[in-house]
Amino acid sequence: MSVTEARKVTLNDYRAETPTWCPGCGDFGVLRGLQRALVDLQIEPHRVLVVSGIGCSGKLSSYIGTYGFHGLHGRTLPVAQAAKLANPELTVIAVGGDGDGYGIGVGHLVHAIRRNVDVTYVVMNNDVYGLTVGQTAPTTPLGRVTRSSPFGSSDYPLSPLGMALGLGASFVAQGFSGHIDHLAVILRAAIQHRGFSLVNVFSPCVTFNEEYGYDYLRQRLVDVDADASYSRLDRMAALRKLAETGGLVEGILFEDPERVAYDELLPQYKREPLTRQVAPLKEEERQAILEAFSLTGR
Amino acid sequence: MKRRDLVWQVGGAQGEGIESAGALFLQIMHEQGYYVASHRHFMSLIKGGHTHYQVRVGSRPLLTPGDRVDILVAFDQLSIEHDADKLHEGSLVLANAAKKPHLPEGSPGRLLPVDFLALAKQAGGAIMANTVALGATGALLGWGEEALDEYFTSRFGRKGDEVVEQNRNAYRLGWEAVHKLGIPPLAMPEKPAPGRRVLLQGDEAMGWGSLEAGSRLFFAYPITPASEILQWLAKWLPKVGGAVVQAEDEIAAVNYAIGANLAGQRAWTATSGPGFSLMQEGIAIAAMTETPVVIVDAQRGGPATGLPTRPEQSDLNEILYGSHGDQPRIVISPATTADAFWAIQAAFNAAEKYQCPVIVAADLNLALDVRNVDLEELRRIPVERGQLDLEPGAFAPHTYPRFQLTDTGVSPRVLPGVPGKTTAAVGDEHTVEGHITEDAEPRVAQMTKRLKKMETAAADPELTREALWTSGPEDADLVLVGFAGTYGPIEEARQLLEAEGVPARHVHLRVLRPFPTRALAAELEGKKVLVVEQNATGQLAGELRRQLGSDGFHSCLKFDGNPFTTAEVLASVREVLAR
Repeated sequence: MSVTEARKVTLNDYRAETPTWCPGCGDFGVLRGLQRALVDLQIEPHRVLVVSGIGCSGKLSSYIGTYGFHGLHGRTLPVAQAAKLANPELTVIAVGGDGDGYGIGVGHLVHAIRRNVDVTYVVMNNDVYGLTVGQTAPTTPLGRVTRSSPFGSSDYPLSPLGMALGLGASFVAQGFSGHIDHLAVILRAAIQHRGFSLVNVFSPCVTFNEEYGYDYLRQRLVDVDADASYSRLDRMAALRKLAETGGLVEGILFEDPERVAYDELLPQYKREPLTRQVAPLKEEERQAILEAFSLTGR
Repeated sequence: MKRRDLVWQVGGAQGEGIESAGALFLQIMHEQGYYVASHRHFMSLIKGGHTHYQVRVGSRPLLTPGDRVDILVAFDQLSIEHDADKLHEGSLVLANAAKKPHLPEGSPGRLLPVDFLALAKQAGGAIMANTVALGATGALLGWGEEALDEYFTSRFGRKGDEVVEQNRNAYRLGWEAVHKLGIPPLAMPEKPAPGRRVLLQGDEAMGWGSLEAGSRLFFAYPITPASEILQWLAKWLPKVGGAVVQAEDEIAAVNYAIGANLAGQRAWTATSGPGFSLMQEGIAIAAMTETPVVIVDAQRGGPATGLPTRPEQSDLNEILYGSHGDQPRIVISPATTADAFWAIQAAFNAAEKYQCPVIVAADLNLALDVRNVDLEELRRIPVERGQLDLEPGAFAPHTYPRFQLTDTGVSPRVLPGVPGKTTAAVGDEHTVEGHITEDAEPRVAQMTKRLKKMETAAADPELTREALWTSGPEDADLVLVGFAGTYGPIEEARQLLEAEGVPARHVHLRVLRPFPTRALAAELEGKKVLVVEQNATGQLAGELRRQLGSDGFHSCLKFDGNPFTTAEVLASVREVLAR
């Protein structure tokens, strides 16, 4: 598997099937941002695994020319973390929507943050359930009228970044699919981060949530990466910034370069592809097990 | 009088050291060279309630922990009453004198009150009451008053000389208290020829078997009776370069296992009923994306929390039919502790060969009961990874025919990392190249292809030759049918019938998917069939009806939370024969 030709990786290597998203969908920007980040890092597509969930965003794994797994609703993170443990040479990226990550799969997010496996998680957040044609999502603002909340949503929205910061996440960022250049820079840093990285991306739904679309976000997003006085190493500053902006922030909000990734905490875990290790026990290993059991006739 | 076996049982409240007393007796008998089989009865609480540990010692391999008790050590009155029906005329009951013990009215056996607690305190502490009980047992078995001195040194040596000495004293005090009663010691069974035997439970056998199968990743959420797999592997996987991840829930556990298999490592998960229900959707994604995965369901009493520490086989329908949509799956069911070692290896081979979920149908007795097995019973089989395609290619992204149509239904499987063959496995219906589609033609082609794998598997000698374990004369009119942990009581009942001159055949199913229709039909046609299973609705009998299209099966059912006794199977046989 180490046929390394000195050929430059181009965007073309990362193109696969033609997307079926609505014209203008924010997910196009996320796809492009991700492709650009991987090209910038010159990672060959066969060394990348993209694990996606269900919903419009879940189709991304079909549209990017890497290995892909389009799994169950909300279960991207277990699949992605295990694939990384099984083959640490892979760059593993989980992608999904806000329903996937903050609704049905939020339990896995909590534990992925806690575990800090070296996986990048990109959540395409449009504040609505799009593919099922417009119901409230965990990030839908209070009072918003949707098809499942005709009198306005009575649920307070979840703050994904606040939650992640509170849980001790080692990399927390937010992007906007209307700002692809910036998004690519954020994703590059997220992929390079050794540990779990959460990138929440505002990815407007032009069909079911037009009101809070590109214009709304362009006018309001505060770019912390452009703010020289902002330190991304300060968790409390990140939380304050979230409070100040009502969550309408863009850039790398927090990074903890000291936090140890999960595989480094595993006792005697070999950081090489386990896929090459599918073999029975060696005789000395078998003997050690046998000796540990109560054995007669030694 | 020569005896073939001896059954000893210790009972009391949980938290009193009953388990450690039972485990110690079991280990001593094993190390003395006897065959041993045991069963631990316990409740879903930490302290209090009732627990007992039953140990059968024999001169031949033992099929069950035994129906009758020869020596009962009872720390409280409940422990006498709970199992009074296991007592016989020759039973000796060592009962806690401090609790004013008595045998229930009309109960056979002889009561021997011993003040375990007072003697333990005399030896140095109440904690040694179970050592006193072992001493009292030793006196009844004709052991010397220093018989366990060495054991105490090896077991407690690291806790210091004082602890060793206290235990030796406790043993001696218990021994003296009974020895002075002048009861002739019970004969020990004849010792079998010495052999290499290992003391283990089914969970450990599966853990060890998975390592022989080359699996180096395990993902699970703790649950009785599968936690022992997690615990055993947590100790051993790091030593062989692998890892255990304790998942946040069973949904995660199965998806972790799928993710690791996707990346090319053999990974698995183990659970019981409630967790298995949570894994149903995961089974579907593995089937649809043709990703191998191995799932153990060590069944216990359901539904819901049901009887969480008690044996049952009531998940069978879910094991065979659970999850949504039409999907291929293979179901392997170990019959004995040693067989569990084989089952997990066979499961991994089948999962990779057929690129589908494989469920190992076990149960609590099989998972937890500790016994010794001859080493040669632990069968190793070669690792077979099926059709892996790891050669670099030159395909444009997502044009590799990952799901190509083949005669067997099995398509060569590429792994992430191979250049020039990138492909996406999708849970949606897909084309040969893995593209999402809703068109009728690829839908029908792919569904047919996936299900075709079951036809291929049905003709796979690796599975067909293992599908049934049979014993007894082929021409017997009566056939006893079971699966998983009921093997022991059914086989023991058959052997007793044979000794009585009543021929019976025992057919135990070890592969339930693909269902061994032809082989089983040949066994059952024109016979009187008694299906022995531990559930209330006769799920296995129902499956036989569905698969064989015949009826008239008799059922022997049990769902009271206790394992089948051989006597219960025999009684059911007599009822059927009398009809």
